[in-house]
Amino acid sequence: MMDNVGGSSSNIAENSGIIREQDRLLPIANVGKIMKQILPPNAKISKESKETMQECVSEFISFVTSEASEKCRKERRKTVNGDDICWALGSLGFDDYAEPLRRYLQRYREQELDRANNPPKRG
Amino acid sequence: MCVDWDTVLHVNQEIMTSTHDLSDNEADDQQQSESQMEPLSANGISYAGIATQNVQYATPSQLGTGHAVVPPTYPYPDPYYRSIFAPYDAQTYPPQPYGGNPMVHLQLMGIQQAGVPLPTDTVEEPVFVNAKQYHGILRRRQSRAKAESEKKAARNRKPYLHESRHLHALRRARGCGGRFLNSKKDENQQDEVASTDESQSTINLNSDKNELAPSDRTS
Repeated sequence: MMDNVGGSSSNIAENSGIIREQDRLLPIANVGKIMKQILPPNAKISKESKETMQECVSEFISFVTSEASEKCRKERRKTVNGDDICWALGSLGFDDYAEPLRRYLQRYREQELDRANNPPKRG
Repeated sequence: MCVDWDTVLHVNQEIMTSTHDLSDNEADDQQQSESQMEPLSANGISYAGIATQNVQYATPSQLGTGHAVVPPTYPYPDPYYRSIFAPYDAQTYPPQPYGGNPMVHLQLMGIQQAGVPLPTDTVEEPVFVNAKQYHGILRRRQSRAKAESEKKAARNRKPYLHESRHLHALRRARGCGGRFLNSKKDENQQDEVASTDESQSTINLNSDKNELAPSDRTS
């Protein structure tokens, strides 16, 4: 998730001109797959639903990220990290999501440590 | 309130299976429900006097009330809500032990924050939002307005991303029903068609987006 956030912000920074649709929104196929996970196997999702969800989730990402970015601006930091996102979720009243995300972030960091300690052997 | 609690259970399950994106999806639903503070606070208050099952039943009518205020949001909760309802029935007992503290907590929150009226461009009724999100919403409104004024072209949604791929798709041979002639891809596209109601442009969009997905992950 952090990579996504960083990627999208760098993309926006690069394109001083028009913000293209593929930079402003998540890929519609991925959104459709995520929506399908929660539905029965034979359920169908209209394209309108995917586009609407695409707009909603992209706006939510910007909403949370702007809250985290505001905190970084006040603290004169340039990098938005995972803790800032967790804090932003709590600050916006999404406490029920901030806690699972902290646990995810903890496990993610443990995995990163494992990779650093055990680099893959190059053939 | 019950909806929030079921969402929490779902989020926990998703985190256990490490499907993090799905929690984003549910978080979005949370945001939408938060933006209609009236149903939430009413739900929290009404819970004191009504049993769990009744509250579960009362929520749809309150969502209907929310629908009257904000019609566009009506279609979204239905499929998600239906999927939540089943596991709730399956777990009628376990949520109750958990329910004590969150109930009291949310009731207190409901009392403390009745909701802040959010100014809207239209002269209709004011929309009440979570006080914690008030400044964030205003900030995002300014950002969106700025983006729209600077780059108006961003709003147009293209039927396809790459001209060359579009032309290639036009050139491909098609069988009866308009599907591409290819034994392997027939099965793939059947899956794609099954997941979406529209046929041709959707296939193009899906294939293009699928190509984009790896690059997005890389960046």
